[in-house]
Amino acid sequence: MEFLASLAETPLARALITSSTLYLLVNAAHILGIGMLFGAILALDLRLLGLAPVVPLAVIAPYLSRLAGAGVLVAIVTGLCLFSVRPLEYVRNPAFLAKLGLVALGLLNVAVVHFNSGWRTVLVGNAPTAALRFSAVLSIVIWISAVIAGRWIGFL
Amino acid sequence: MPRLSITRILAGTAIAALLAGTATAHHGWSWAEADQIDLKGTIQSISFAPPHPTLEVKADDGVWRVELGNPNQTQRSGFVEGQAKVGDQITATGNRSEDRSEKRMKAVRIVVSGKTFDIYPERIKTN
Repeated sequence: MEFLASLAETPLARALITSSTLYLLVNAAHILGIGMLFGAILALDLRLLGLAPVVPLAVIAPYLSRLAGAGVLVAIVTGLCLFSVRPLEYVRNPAFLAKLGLVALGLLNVAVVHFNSGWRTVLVGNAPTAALRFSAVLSIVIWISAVIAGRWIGFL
Repeated sequence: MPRLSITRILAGTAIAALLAGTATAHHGWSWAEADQIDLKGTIQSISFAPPHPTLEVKADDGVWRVELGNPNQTQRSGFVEGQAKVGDQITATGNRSEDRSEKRMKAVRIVVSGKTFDIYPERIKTN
């Protein structure tokens, strides 16, 4: 807890507290990161589930997957910055904890997909396996839930 | 029929999102009572951190959480770091939470050590 409290004293947190313009820019970047992640992953998940069969999966799968990965990275880095201004309050916020859990689940799902042979068969041009389609449904549900939990933080 | 199930999932989540939007929102005033109260006490902690600067005020009936405006509104009222310190006497005027079990209010005006800061000038109700 003391470590968390000291986060709010770091130069980064102090800068975000004293400059509301900087805070809102980081906030905007956080939203953009989430938009990038969700936009890319929804397009990929829907394609895996059979939407838009004319789109070549082997071509767009690595592209959308990396784009979503970049979005996750932006969201996590900016999220840590936003967290630093009120660390003790956020760790006591159930919606925030739910969001962290959901993000962890989402990333676990990513790991399962990428370590599975189903992903490689898609990359060489085969149809997605049932397991991969299941992961696609999970992915949509988890990321939407994470966004809702995130939005809920300010409403508790 | 995977497409159909996705449509259902999306529709279900959209409904959940709409319901979430009606939850008590500390960003607005919907969670607070219309009538205003005066809270007197001593400042226990001060935070200017976004999205809402907050004070913890020790009153006779316990510790209250006093939420101020957004950082710029709060700054415009003149209440910036250095204007108050822990232990200072404070009178906060504002709207308390509709949930009577929580000691929480949104301040429209605070008076610290004789200095008045009008956070929401247009919302201050004069008797």
